[in-house]
Amino acid sequence: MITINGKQYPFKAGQTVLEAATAAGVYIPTLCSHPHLTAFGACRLCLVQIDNVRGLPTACTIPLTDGMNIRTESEDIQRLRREIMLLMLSEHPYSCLVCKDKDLCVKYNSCTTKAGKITGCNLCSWKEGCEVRKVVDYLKIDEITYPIHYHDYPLKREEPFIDRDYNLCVLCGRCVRVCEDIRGIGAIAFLNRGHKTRVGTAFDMSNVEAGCVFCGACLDECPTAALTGRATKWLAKTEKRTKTTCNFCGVGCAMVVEGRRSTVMRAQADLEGPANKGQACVLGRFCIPSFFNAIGRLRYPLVRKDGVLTPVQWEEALKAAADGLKAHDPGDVRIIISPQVTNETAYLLSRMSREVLPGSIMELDSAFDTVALRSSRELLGNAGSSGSLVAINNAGTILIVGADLHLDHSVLRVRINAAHKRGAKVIWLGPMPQGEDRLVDYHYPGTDYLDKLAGLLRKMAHDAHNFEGSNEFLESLVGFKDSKESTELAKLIRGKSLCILLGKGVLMDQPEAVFTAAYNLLVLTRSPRGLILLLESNSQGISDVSGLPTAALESPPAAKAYYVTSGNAYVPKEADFLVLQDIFESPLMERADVVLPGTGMPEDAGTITSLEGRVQALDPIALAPGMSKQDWLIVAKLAIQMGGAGFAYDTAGQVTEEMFKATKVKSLGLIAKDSYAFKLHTMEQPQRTAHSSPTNKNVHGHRGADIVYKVDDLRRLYKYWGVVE
Amino acid sequence: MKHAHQNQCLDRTERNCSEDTAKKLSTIFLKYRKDKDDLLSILQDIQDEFGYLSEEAIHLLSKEIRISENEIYGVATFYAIFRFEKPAEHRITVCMGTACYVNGADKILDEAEQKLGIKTGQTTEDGKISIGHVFCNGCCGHAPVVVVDNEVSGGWTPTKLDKTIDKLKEGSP
Repeated sequence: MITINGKQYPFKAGQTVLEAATAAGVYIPTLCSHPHLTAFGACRLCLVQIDNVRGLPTACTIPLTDGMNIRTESEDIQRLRREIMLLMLSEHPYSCLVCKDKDLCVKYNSCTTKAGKITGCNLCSWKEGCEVRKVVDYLKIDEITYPIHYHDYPLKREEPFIDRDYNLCVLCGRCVRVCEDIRGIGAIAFLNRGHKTRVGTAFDMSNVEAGCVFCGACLDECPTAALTGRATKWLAKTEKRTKTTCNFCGVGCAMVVEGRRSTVMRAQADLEGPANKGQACVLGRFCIPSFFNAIGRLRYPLVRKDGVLTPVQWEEALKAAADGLKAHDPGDVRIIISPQVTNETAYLLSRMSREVLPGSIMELDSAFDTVALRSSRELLGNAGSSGSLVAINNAGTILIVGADLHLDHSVLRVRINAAHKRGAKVIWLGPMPQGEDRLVDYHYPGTDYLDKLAGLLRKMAHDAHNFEGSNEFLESLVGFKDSKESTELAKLIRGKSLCILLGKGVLMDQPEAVFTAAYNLLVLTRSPRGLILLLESNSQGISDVSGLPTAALESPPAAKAYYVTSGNAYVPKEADFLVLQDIFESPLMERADVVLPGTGMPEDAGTITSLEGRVQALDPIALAPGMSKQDWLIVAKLAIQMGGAGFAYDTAGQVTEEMFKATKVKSLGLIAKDSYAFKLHTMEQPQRTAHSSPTNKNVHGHRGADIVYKVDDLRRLYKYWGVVE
Repeated sequence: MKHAHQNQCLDRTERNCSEDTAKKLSTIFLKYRKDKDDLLSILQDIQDEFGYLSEEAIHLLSKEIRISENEIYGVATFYAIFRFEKPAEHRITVCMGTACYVNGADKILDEAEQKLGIKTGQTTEDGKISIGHVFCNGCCGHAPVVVVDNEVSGGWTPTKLDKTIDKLKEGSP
C-alpha cells in the first residue's frame, strides 16, 4: 500500500508514482510524460514530496516502493511548479492564457479563428486538447512576470499533412521520443542547446528528406498545437466520437474517429488498440477523412438507360440488377468480392451465391491474398496467418519477404522495431524502401525468393530428420542450388524462434512454392506460430465467413454476368451484364449496367477481421452520402429481390449474430487457431514463369478508387518516394 | 511488387561523396566500435580531418553506427566546437577593441567588407577568405591590430589590408 495525499491506495510493482496517482485519480500536472513513452523527467512539473526522499523528485521517474507517503500538492511544490510553468510560458504565446476573460471567451467565442500564425489561444485550433492550458488552469497562473522571449520561428507549411509552428513548442520531447524510441525512425531531434534549443532535422532539410514517413505519431503526442494536421484542423466542431477499425490494410488498427453528419472529421489511433497500441500510419492517421470526404463518391443508384447511366430510386435499381442477374444461368454469374467489404457483406454474398444463385462462382479481388489464403489452407489447414502479431514480438529472427512496410502494414514496423531493440535480428529479402536500413540487420535485395529460401532449407536440411515427411522433403530439395547467401542466412536463422512476414512481392516469384518453403522453415525452426501473411483489408474475414478462396481452377470459365463490389476488379469486355457496387466513381462504371452506391469504413456497421484473425467492430461515425446504403443491406435487398428467403434484416447486428452462429467466426476478438500438423512438405521445382497480378494496378486500391489519387498530400509524399509519377 | 519505389526513388543516400572523403572516413570509423557511445569522439575526429562536419560525413556516419542523421546533427549542434560549414582557407580578423577602434579599425573592416563583397562573419563564394572581428587581442600597443591566419600584427591601414587581400587571393600568404 502507498499513501497519496493521506489516502491509501494499492499499487503494482514497477509502477511509477505518476502512474499510480493517475490510476488513483489524483491529478499531477505533467507535459513530458505519456503512457507509451519511457520516463524522461524533462518538464519538472510532476514534482512531488515523498517522506524520507531528499528534495522534490519527479513523479514520472520514481518507482514505487511499499509504504511510500506521497504528497502531490503543497505550497512549496505549487510555487516551484508555477515558476517552471512561467519560464516555459515566456517563450509561448500566452496572452490568452492569462486573460481575465478567458472563461467567457471559451464559453461564447468557441468558433476557431482560422489564422495561420497562432499568437494566442483564441487563434489556436487545438484549444480543447491543449495540455498547457490544462496545467495553467490547475496552477491558477494569472500573471506572467518574465519578459517575453518569443522565438518567431517561421511556420513550416510546405510539407505534406503536417503544419509545424515551433513557436508553440514547449520542448517536452514527446515527438522526438516517439519517433525514435517507438517508431524507430528518428526523423526529428533536439537541435542546439539552451534558449536556442528546438526540434528539427539535420541541416534543416525538409522532413520528407530527413526520413519522415508521416505516421503522425508526433502529432498525437504533441501537447500543444506546435504540430497540427493541416487537412482537418480548421474543420468545424465534431458532433460525435467513436471507436472503429481502420480497413486500409489488414493490420486492424483500432481508431478513434470523429465526425459530423456525413463528414469524417479526424481519425486518431486508439491508445488501447490491441493490434496497434496507439500507433497509426500515414493512411490511417491522415487519409481516412481526406479519402472518404473526397470528391467522386457515388450518391445515387444508377441504371443504364439508352446507354446512359441514369440516377433512379433504389427499388428500380435493385429490380434492374436482380432481373439482369436472374436472366443468366447461375453458372454464368461471377461474384467478385473486394477485400474492403465487411464480414457481414461477405457472409450475405456467399449466402446469396449458394442459395439464390447456386452454381455461381465467387472470387476474392486480390491476387496475393487469394494465393496466400489458399496456400495456407493447404499447408496449415487454416486459411490465414498461423499466429497472432505477438509472434513478431517474441521472435528471435524476423524474416521479411517481399514486403514494403513503408507503403502497406507500416504499423507492424513498430513491433518489429521493439523486437529489434530487444535483440531480434531483422532480415529483409527483396527490394527495401529507403530509410529501413536502421531497422534491418541483413538485406538481400534480389527477388528470387524461392531460390534463397530453398537454399536456406538445404543448409538446414540436417535438422529435418525429426519431422514427419522428411524423406520426401529432402529428396525434393535436391534440385535447388546453394548460394553464399543461404549459408549466411542459415547461420542467422538456426536455433532461434522465427517469424516470417510474407508480402505481395512474392507474386514476382513462384508464390505457392515460396509459401511451402516458408512453412518448412518454420517447421525446421520449431516456430509454429511464426507465419504472418500481409493480407489486404478484410481478406481474412471474407475467407473465414465465405470459404473463399476456393480451390484453384486450371482455366476458370468465363462468366457472362458479373456482380462486383470493387471498381478495380477485372471484368472482361465480353461480359454482357455488370452490376457494380462501389463507393467511388471508377473506370469500370463505363461498362456497368447497374451501379449501387455502397459505404466506406467510417459509414459502415459490422465487423472486419485483421490479418492475425482478430474480429473487430466497425461503428459508423458519418452518415452515408446521398442515397448510398451500407453494403450488407444492398446485398440483402438484392437477394430478396431475386427471391431469396431469410434475407430480411433490420440491423447489421442481426447479420453479425447469424454469422457468428453459422460460420467459424464466433465472436469479437482473436479467433483461436487450431494447432496444425507439424510436418514437412515437398518443394516444387521453380518453373520460371513470371506470375502476373491483374489486380495489382493500384498503389492503395480501396474498392474502385486509389487512395493515392484521392489524397493530394499522400500523392506528394509518394511522388518524392518515387512510387507514383 | 509493381512499385518497387526503391529502384526509382530519389536516392538520398547517393549524396555527392568523393571517394577520397569516404576513404578518410572509413579510416576514422575503423578506430572505433560501431557504437553510440563513441559518437562524440568520432565527430571530433571527423572535424579534425576535414575542418568541419559535412552533410556527407554525417550521412555516412549515420549509416555506420545506425543512428539517424538528425540525432547525430542534434548532438553535434549541442556542442559549440562543431562547425557545419567549410572554413575559409584564409581568415582575416580585425580587432575592434577600444584602442584599435580609435585608430581606425572600423575603416579597415569596411575596406575588407567592400573589397570582398561580403559582411563580417561571412566567407567569399570561392571559399578562400572569411572576415571576422574580435574585441581585443591583448596587444593594444600595436593598434590597429589585424590577425591574418593566426598571425597577429599591428599598424594596419586600409591600403595595407587591400594589398594583403590581393596576395591572399593570388594564393601566397
